[in-house]
Order: sequence, then C-alpha cells, then structure tokens
Amino acid sequence: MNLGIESIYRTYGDYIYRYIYGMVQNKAEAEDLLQDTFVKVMKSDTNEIKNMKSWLITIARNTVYDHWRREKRKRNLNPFIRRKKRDVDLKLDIEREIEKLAPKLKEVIILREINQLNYEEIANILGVEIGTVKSRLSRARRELRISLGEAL
Amino acid sequence: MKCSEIEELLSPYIDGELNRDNIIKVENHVEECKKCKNLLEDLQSIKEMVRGIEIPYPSESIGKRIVDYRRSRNYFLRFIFSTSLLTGLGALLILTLGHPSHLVEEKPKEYYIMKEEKNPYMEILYETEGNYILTNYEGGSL
Repeated sequence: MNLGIESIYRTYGDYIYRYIYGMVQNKAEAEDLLQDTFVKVMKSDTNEIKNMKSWLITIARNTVYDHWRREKRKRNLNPFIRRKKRDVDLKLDIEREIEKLAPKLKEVIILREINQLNYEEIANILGVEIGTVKSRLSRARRELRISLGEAL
Repeated sequence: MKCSEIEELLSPYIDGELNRDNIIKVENHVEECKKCKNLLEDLQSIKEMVRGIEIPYPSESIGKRIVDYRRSRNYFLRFIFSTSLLTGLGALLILTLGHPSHLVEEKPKEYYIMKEEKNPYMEILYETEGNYILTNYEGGSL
C-alpha cells in the first residue's frame, strides 16, 4: 500500500488514537504517543503493508509499551517521579474498571470493543493464538462483571 | 452441556466468533438455565457499556505536528543530500581537472623587458645575464 503520511494520518489517525487513548487514558500522553507512532510510520516502508490498520496498531502498541517501560525505568531511578494522572474526572464506572484490569486484559477489551477487531486480527497483533485471545476476553469480561457488580 | 463449558462460550458468542454448532448449544442452554442467561445478559451489557465509552478526538495540531515533522525531516535530508552531492561533484571536478588554480593565489605573470626600460615603479623579479630582466610589468613581452 503506497500512501503518503498525510493520507495515512487522515485515514487512520483517529482510529489509532482510540487504541492509544484506551491504553493510557490521558489525552496529552495519548497525543504524544500518537505523534511518536506516526514518526515511526514515516521512517518505515509502507509499500509492502497488506493490512494497514493492523500494522499501525502494532506500531502504536510497541510505542505504548516502550513508553511504559521508559516510565517504569525513570520511576525506578527516581521514586519521586509520579505516574501521570489519568483523565479521571471524565470517567464512567466502566472506564475506571477497565483501567484497573491487567494490561493484557485491558488491551484485548480495547482492541475488540474500541477498535472492533476480530479474534484473528487481535491474535496477529498480539502474536498469540486465537484461543488465548478468547480466554483473555472471557477473563476480562468476568473481572469487569465482578467489579461493576451493582452498576450492571 | 455443563454450565462451566457454556460460560466459556458466552464471551465468543457475544462477539459472533462461535461456529453454528456452538451457537445452537449456547442458545439451547440459556433457554433452560437462568444463571447462564443472567451471565449472558451481563456480558452483553458490559459490551454495550465499553462500546459506549466516548473517546476524545486528537487535537487538530497533532496532524499538523506530524506533517511539519515530515517536512523538516525532508528539508534536513534534502540539505544532507544536496551537500553531499555538491561535495562529491566538487571532488570529482578537482580530480578530473587537476589543480584547482582558481582556489589558490594567482601567481603574477612574468614579463621580459629590456634593462633600459626599467623604472622604479616596476617590481623586478630577477635579472638575466643578457639585456633582459623579469618583471610583472604588463607592458613587456611574455
């Protein structure tokens, strides 16, 4: 697929932002990571990409995980650095409960419901079996069911 | 089929990821089992709640920042490319044409004049044994 960066951003920018925002739940942080993602895209050869959407999510995912690793390293070196605040005021119960899930469970929920990918696409992005996607989604939903309790 | 087995199928059921046989198994089971029916309804509510989350749009400036970054990178690359191209061409010219005479101070031309033509304003380079002296006086013969 041979597209210029402007065209890729216009077509997929919001879609990729939804994934990143879902993962970090902070607008400023998500925007920085979106920019980092597209800088990486700019440096890549997009001619051979068959599934642009999945490929972009994979780049965004690596960017988010790299960012978390860097943040963790910084916090380990200096315990006084605080975690960035989530946009808590804007959140519904469901958003708060998703935030509490383990990253692997949170991620499948976002990829499935926010990005509306099917199990096969999610499995390809995560590099796992479809069965693993299925079981992670089941587990994530059961945990949400317990934590939401009365709100359901 | 046991409830524990059906429970595992409910999540892929609401995602439309079950085959026909399993869909029938789930639907038959939940008709009979209130506990699994409740679970299915809860999972469907959760799905709707997650899909209903409002995700903000990225600021307009992000698109501009990305395009600007690309442009500045292009200019940088173009600068690097043109600089190396010019340097390369320069090197090639020097190698091909030999000594870059225009880059070093030009040596004054030497002229011969008769000794009697000599005057104090001429810069005398050296004298020959005969009647001639060498000078930068342009009126002489080369």
